[in-house]
Amino acid sequence: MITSTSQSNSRAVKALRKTAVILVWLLLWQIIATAVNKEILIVSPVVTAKRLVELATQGEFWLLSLMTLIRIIKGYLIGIVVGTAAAVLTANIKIADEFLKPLLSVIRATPVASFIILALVWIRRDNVPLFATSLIVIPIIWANVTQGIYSADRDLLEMAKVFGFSKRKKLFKIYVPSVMPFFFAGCSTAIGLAWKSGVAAEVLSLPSLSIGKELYYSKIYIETADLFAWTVVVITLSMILEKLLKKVLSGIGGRQ
Amino acid sequence: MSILIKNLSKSFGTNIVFNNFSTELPDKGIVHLRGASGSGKTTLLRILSGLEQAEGGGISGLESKKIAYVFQEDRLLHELSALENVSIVSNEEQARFWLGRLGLSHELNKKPPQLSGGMCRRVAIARALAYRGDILLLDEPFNGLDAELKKILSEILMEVSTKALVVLVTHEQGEADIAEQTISIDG
Repeated sequence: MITSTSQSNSRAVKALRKTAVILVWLLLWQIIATAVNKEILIVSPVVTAKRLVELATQGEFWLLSLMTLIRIIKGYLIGIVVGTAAAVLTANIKIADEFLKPLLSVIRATPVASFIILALVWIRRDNVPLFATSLIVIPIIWANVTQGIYSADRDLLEMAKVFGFSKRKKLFKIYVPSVMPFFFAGCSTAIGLAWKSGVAAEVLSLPSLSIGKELYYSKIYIETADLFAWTVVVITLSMILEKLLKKVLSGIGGRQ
Repeated sequence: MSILIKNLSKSFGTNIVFNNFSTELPDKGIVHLRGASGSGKTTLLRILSGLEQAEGGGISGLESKKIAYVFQEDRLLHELSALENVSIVSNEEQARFWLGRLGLSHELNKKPPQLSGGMCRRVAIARALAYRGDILLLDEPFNGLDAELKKILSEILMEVSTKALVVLVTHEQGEADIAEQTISIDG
């Protein structure tokens, strides 16, 4: 009882601290906006909030946000599937590792913008964000899953060999538990980057119904309030998605 | 059919572990492998189990023989319960039987991190026994066991040795008294 009360107290203190930090930052933002006093350069948090409320009352706002969300989640999931498959392949087949390693290095080293511009030439503009998001996610998952496979306990693998474990048993009882922490860490890292690259790809490819397109037009028409409001939307969605993912992953991790 | 080890050679870098080592193991009974620390007892068990390859010589009589191994470390799957760790190499009935004989009937559903060192050792032993191998390799199996459990395990090993070959590595002479044959490995 005493423990639960002190736990809830410390949680309340933590939340209070977090709120205070956010308020200080908002205050700083307000002070800078007031000092600059040019809405074309920087709008205040109050103006941003007002614009956000205006946007949120329009049906299109929710549709645009949903479409961007779907695009990024799709690209993220494709990246996870391809990255995992590539890791399994390269960790098990030496020739595949030698053949695909340079590709991994190229993907890692190439700027996202280059991929986006190339993709604009190759594929339909609506699919460019999906492509860019996948390309960001693939190397992260690929590297993490590979590390997880190589980290499988050698002693347990020897034990499995002596006791004649089937491939399936080896996979689910030794490799999967070894890979999961690396996989989860990769998924967490990749989600934030997926958002950044996905929205950047939308800004450059301007697919119909996208947050990126709105960001682009707010820049073109110098509507700084819109730019700030949409940026707040992107940040909020990214944070919600990250939190949701963490909950899902800890749920899966807890079940194991 | 007995197991013939002929002119076995094995080295790790510049460290020569076996140089033309030869011996014969019966197909049943308890054999104690004796030797100083680092003399190659564990290496011989690893070669017999197929985990290590000899560089020279050969072993005959191992063909189609099922080998169970109690490693120096327990090598248990931490996500599985004691019962699952044993039944994964046999079946639940066998697992319950051997865990019960080793005094773990009340710990069946506990996972290795929830068990003491001695309990984990017994789970590893139960796993090897439940596997019902033709050859049972035991590397310091008595480690972490109290006198009562050592006695129980000795009795079990004597029982098993009527049907299978038990190869025992231990430093304690008292624990090796159950052996019918002793092979010295001088490295």
